[in-house]
Amino acid sequence: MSSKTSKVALTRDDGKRLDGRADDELRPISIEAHVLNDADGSALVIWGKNKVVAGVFGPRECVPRHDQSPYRAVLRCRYNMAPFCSLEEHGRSGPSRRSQELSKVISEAFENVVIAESYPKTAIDVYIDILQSDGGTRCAALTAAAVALADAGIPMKDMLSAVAVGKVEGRLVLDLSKEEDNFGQSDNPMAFASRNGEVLLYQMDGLLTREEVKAGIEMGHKASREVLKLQLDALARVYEQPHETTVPLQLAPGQKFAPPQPA
Amino acid sequence: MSEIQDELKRDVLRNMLSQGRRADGRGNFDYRAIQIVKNPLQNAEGSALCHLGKTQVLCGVKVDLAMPFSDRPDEGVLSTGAEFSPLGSHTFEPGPPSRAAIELARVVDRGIRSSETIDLKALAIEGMDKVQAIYIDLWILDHDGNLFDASMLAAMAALQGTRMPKVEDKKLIRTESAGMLNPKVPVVSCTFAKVDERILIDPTMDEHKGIDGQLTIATTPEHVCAVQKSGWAAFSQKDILDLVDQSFSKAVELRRALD
Amino acid sequence: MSRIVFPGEVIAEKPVRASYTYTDGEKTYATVISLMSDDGKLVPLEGPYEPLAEDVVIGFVSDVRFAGFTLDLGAPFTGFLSSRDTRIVLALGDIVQVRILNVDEVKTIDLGDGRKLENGAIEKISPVKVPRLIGKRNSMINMIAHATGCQIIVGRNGYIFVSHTGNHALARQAITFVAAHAHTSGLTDRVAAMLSEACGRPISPDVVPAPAPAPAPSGGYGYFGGSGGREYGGRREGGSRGGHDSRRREGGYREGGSRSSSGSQDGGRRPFGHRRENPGEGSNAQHSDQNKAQNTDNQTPAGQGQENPSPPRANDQTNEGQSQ
Repeated sequence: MSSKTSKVALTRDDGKRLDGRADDELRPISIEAHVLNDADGSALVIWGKNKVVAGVFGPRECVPRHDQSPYRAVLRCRYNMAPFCSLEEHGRSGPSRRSQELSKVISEAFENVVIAESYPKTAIDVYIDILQSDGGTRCAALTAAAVALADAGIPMKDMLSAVAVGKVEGRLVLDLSKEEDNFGQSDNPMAFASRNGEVLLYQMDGLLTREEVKAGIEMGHKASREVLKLQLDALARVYEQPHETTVPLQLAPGQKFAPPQPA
Repeated sequence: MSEIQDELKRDVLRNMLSQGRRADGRGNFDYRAIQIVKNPLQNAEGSALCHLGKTQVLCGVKVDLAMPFSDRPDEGVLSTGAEFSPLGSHTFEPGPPSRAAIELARVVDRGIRSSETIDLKALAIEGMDKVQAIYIDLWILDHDGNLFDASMLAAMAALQGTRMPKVEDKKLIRTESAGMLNPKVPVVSCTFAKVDERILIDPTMDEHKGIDGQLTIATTPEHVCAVQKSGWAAFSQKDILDLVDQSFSKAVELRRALD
Repeated sequence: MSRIVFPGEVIAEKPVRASYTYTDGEKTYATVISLMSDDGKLVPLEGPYEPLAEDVVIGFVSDVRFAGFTLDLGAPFTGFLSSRDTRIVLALGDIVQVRILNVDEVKTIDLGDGRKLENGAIEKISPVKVPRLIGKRNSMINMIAHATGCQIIVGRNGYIFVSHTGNHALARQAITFVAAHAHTSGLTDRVAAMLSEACGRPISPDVVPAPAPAPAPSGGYGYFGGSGGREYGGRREGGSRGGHDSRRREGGYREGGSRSSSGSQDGGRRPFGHRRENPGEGSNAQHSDQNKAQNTDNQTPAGQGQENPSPPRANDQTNEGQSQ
């Protein structure tokens, strides 16, 4: 995924990144909660060009029975990419190995925050669909899933916010774009609990020094607080501006959904 | 357990219909509100999100280069898939496509293919073995009944908005456009549901639980181009002809939604 | 004024035990998105049903066994109605109003006082919105029932029985509307307006319908000792409440009061002894005077300058006494 030397120049002459951002700047993000009618909870996250929808069902009967736990609800998360999500070719159907790995680490992040003991023998199902991908989909997916779980009223100890840090041409940068992910020197996605900043997801590849690891965590945690604000704002707006349930997939990143005013 | 709930819903449905009413107050041949959002996605070459009442169906169209079918080497490839995403309904499970998903994809495919709205021969490229391939993928985001009609509308709108990438040196240059796909005729479908002897159009998810059978009829302005009967109920021969007439009539309203 | 609080947000600087909250031993945090009023009342805006003994709920028969009936009470809960605790005979799919006798640590639910509800269907709303649907002194639910001519019975589990006699579609519409706007102010008036328009005659929340003959309560059909403390303050974690068993119910629910005061004292605030409304018969019947159902409309939605909900009367036993 990352290489030692960039095949593509990732810094402009003015020192900014290819898309004009500063090193510690997030891409524009839109979050809308409660976008699906049937799901118990749902969310749309538009993060740069990424477009991700999450839907939650549960607590509900756990089938197959052998998946059930007598002590707690079983949390089942599935990350799945649509075949039309990429700029490049049409994707194959079925979960790739990458999707399966992501499903696992995402499930485990939420197992920490969801209070599952209240609902033994049930399942809480979280489905995250990547409808458009442009680097950093797993962070968008985690962020969307957290909002969908809160929207569903699933009791949680914490909210969870995710962001990726990376290294490009020797510098730590926040929220890698697709090119930076492909041609940069490290990709370091992470997710934080809202109450105390504990790390719920942490992965990296490439090469980082110890100082870079530390600085990366600080940069990531700070940015995750900004993401948290957007998540909470999305949830609040469900109640402050009730409107028809719809997926406003056409929103530009950073734009908020403006429901048509009732007559 | 959910079967019992379905039985209860079935009773409610039959009860209401015997009083000549539908739960949302619609007439037997009224569609719910239709709204189509064009090209909400930028990575796909074409896309559309169809809202039909509370049903939300997304269609993404990708254009690739592919080897043609061996029996039609001078024609482009058209392929349609459908995903009943588990977030779309409490009745959808993750896993390989169910028979219902496969049926949906194949019926939408037949509607598009039979209508010849896409000139497949124009997708072949001179001097190349490979041809252009159009991949239509339906993605059910929110199931409140009548996935057939919502999918057909989403697919048609996505095709209408599809930009063809430029082909140069036997490769696709996705960042440059060679113009729009420009499908020739608008294809729409009407789905009729049968409850005992009554026929309803555009069933919701709740109504769906109480119906015995469905007939989906896809039309162009001049022709019927695909039909699918599903469910165990029988339709009389007269029913079928009546419903074809109804489809032509309703199609006018549906095609307006595509504009 | 109220503000919205989120999962993981601090709602008390000390450990408190209450529904829909979590404590790490030092502070207490909300676990679901909720409204928090200035005086510390926490009302969940979304959340699953938390079954408690004494709750009157509605379910449908999902299994008929020799010893009784299994009722679906809304995912993921089922309850068991033993043949010992009910004299009625039920078939698969029947809709039943029941009372929860006991809930254990693994959420096994024992039911009693079954009453079959015929000629109607179940509508579902989120259980946390039930108090709003019932309204102060049953005002909201009575208004809807009166306007539509339907018999409406609201179960604490979010299952609502709506009879087919009457304008079922309008009732469903009104119920959905209330659920969607449960957290807003002026809701009763808006629902009244909506019903007036649909019925072509003025509908007012002040209309008290002439009491129809109340269905004779089946043996031991007493009530609503609500377990208070669905809201911030007095819920004891899971488990049985003072040894309920099927014989006790004849005597009414004296435990009501004591239960609600457990664990809810917090720096001088009144314990939440709210007894919940009679979730039983909505419309025609009843309650009005007989059961003096408490005000459960204790949500203070943002901006609503409503008259204070009746202060918690944790230790007021009068209601219990009347029931039988």
